[in-house]
Amino acid sequence: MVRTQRRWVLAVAAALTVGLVSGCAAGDSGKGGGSGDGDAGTINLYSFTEPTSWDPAAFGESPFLPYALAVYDSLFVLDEDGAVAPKLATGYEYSDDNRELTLTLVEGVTFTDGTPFDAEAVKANMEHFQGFATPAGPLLQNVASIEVVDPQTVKLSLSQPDPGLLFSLTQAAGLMGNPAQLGTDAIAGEPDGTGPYTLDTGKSVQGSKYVFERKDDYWDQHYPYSTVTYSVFPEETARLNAFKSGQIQYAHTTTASAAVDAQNAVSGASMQQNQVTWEGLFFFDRDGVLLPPLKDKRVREALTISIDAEAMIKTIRGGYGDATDQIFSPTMDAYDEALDDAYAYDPERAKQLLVEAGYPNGFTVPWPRTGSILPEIYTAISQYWSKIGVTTQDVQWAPGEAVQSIMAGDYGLVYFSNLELLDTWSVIQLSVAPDTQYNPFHSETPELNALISALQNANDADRKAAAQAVNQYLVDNYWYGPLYRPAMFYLTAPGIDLTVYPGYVQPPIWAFAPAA
Amino acid sequence: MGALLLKRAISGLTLVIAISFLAQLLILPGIDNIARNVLGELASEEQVAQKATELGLDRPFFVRYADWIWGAVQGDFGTSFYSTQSVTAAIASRLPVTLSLVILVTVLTALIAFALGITAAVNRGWIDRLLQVLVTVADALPAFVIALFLATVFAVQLHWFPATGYVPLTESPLGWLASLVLPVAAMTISGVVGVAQHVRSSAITVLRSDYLRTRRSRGLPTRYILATTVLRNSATPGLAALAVQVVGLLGASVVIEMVFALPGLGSLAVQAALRSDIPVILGVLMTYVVIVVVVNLLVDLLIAWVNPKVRLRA
Repeated sequence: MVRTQRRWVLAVAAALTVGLVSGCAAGDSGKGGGSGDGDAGTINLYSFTEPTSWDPAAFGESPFLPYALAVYDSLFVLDEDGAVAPKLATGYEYSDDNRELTLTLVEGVTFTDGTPFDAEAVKANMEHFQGFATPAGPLLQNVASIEVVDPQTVKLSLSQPDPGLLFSLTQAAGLMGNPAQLGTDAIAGEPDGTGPYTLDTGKSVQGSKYVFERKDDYWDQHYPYSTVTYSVFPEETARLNAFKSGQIQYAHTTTASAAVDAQNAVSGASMQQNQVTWEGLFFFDRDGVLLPPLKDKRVREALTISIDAEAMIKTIRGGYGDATDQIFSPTMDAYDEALDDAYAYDPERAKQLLVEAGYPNGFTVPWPRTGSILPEIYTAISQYWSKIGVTTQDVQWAPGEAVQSIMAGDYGLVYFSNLELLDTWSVIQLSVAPDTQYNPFHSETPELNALISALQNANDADRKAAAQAVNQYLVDNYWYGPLYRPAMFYLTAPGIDLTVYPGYVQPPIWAFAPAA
Repeated sequence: MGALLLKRAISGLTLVIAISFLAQLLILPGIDNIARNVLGELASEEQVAQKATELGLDRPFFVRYADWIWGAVQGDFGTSFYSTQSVTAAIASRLPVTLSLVILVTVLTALIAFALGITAAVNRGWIDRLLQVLVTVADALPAFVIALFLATVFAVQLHWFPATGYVPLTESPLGWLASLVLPVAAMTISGVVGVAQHVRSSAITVLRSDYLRTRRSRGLPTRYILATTVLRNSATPGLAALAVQVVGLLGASVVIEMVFALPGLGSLAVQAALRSDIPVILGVLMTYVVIVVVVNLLVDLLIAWVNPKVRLRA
């Protein structure tokens, strides 16, 4: 009796083991060969996020772009200065009234099944994008119609001038998939583009590792690495351990101490910086609906200048990052270096301003916190404000709640971090214009609307000045209270050269090359 | 034994249904944020509304739940809100990782805990005192602290084992083992002494019992008595503690999988919970519930096999 039962237990154990084995993902690990002309073998990169779908319209903000740009080409790309440069589109021309954009396309490029990349393909992709619930935003909302002039020319008619359109065509809106596959489950599961690499679905594990193999006959520039892998590490400790132990040859982090520590752990590793976000105060309730004091510009000024951004960079950010008072980054038209120190830390003046505004004893503000911002930042600001009599009432946002809560107008004032890696016009369309996601109280003034309109209709020569005028207005009126641009650290293993492209949060594959 | 199985099956099923309903209820307050979170901050209100309709979030609660139950009984847990992967495929690809962890840790914990517990009970002395100290230390040290320490020393500094990642057993058995050494060690270290403590106390009780003294007086060899009477009679509390431990392991694996970037169920659960990926959350939860029910059943059977008294009662 005992013996048969024992056998039965063994059988269960064996069955479990077999189930375990058969349940394991099949596929063998391939090492990229180091032989062949111009072949640097395999490079192991990382991403903190996974692609949600391989449909070209499904790629969202910059973190997703490296995946997309491995397998798809976009109409335009961003160069080393963050400026728009040609790719599948070799040139463009705007009509005098900025309502027609004509694109000339590269010749002789085909998808893997032989479908040509031409004006019809551009039209199909743009229409597909317009009908897609894409995370990239309504980037083509002003494109009213798309006309195929000839196979190499396509003409976009715009419902209104759109100064951000060319930039949008460097993002998800510019990715070109095989028109024969758009909208199918096939392209959602496996990419089909004209890009330099193909996804090896057999070696990839969804959500964990993606393996790309170089195309031998890619139409554009040469890529040194025949195999590129992206491992997904949402968690910083695991990511940096992987880098320190040599499993990945590139990593990034926003924590200064962790970056320095990781660099020191790998001899010969290099560290570079980029600034991809700005952090600071968002005065949403500029008409004082929820928080009456915010209606007064002097109060917004007082709340801003009572915070010592330089000290926060030093103590909280390890000395890395730049203080700023504008919401536009150095690669954008609207950026004006002088505005980086428009506001000076001055608690005495802040107190005085509150007295003038009729709040000599200060006031109380709800102070929502989110887990994605360092808690000491909230605390530091509460302390700065307590010195001018302003009291904060802490509220905790649940994970994933912050963005929706902000957009629903739950709070008149928040501390938040905003992606800066858009162009001037996209920033305005995201957070400055009256009906945008980060303008939940729809604040507007006739002056600001006029400035935005002037920018929208400006031609190439006047655009920079018009953009800077908008920026100047926002700074003068304390529309926001930006504090600083935190540093993002890029770590690369010895033997690899990384060129930082300020327009991409995560460097695209073409930014990596073997060290000379 | 048949009655035991039936009873277990019914209570397991009830548990599955109750938990799935509760989980759906818990997610309800955040339901309006989901489409926005899926698309991110750049999407327009119209795009968010379109996404909500695509995901079926605009339907009433009970319609959604009924729809889910109907799919689930047919083995279809739907598709992730965030990716095009089916929940079943996502779980199937991640289950081997978590099962490898849990099974290895359980087997190791059982072997070490019984050896340690019985040795401490029989010999007392320094080994027993050491166990008492270790229990306190292990209680104070969560698995992830041990994991971080092991990763820093053995992966980053000494390069003995990979710092992160998982190699499927079918791809390379040695690679599989190497990728699991540190996470398994971390989880075993933090759990083993607790189980050992249970084995020790029940073994001491058995050693002091009259029937043991009787057996000894018959002149039976000590080793034989230990392997039969002591081990068997002290197994029940030890195995019960082990069952609780296994359930706890599923919780601990969540953190351990994050530290070692293992693509298992735990990291999937965290990711899905943080972004309200309802189909994945429910799929993972159901998998956990089934694992817990099966483990408890196996342990009950094991206890019944080891201890005839339990069999008679059932």
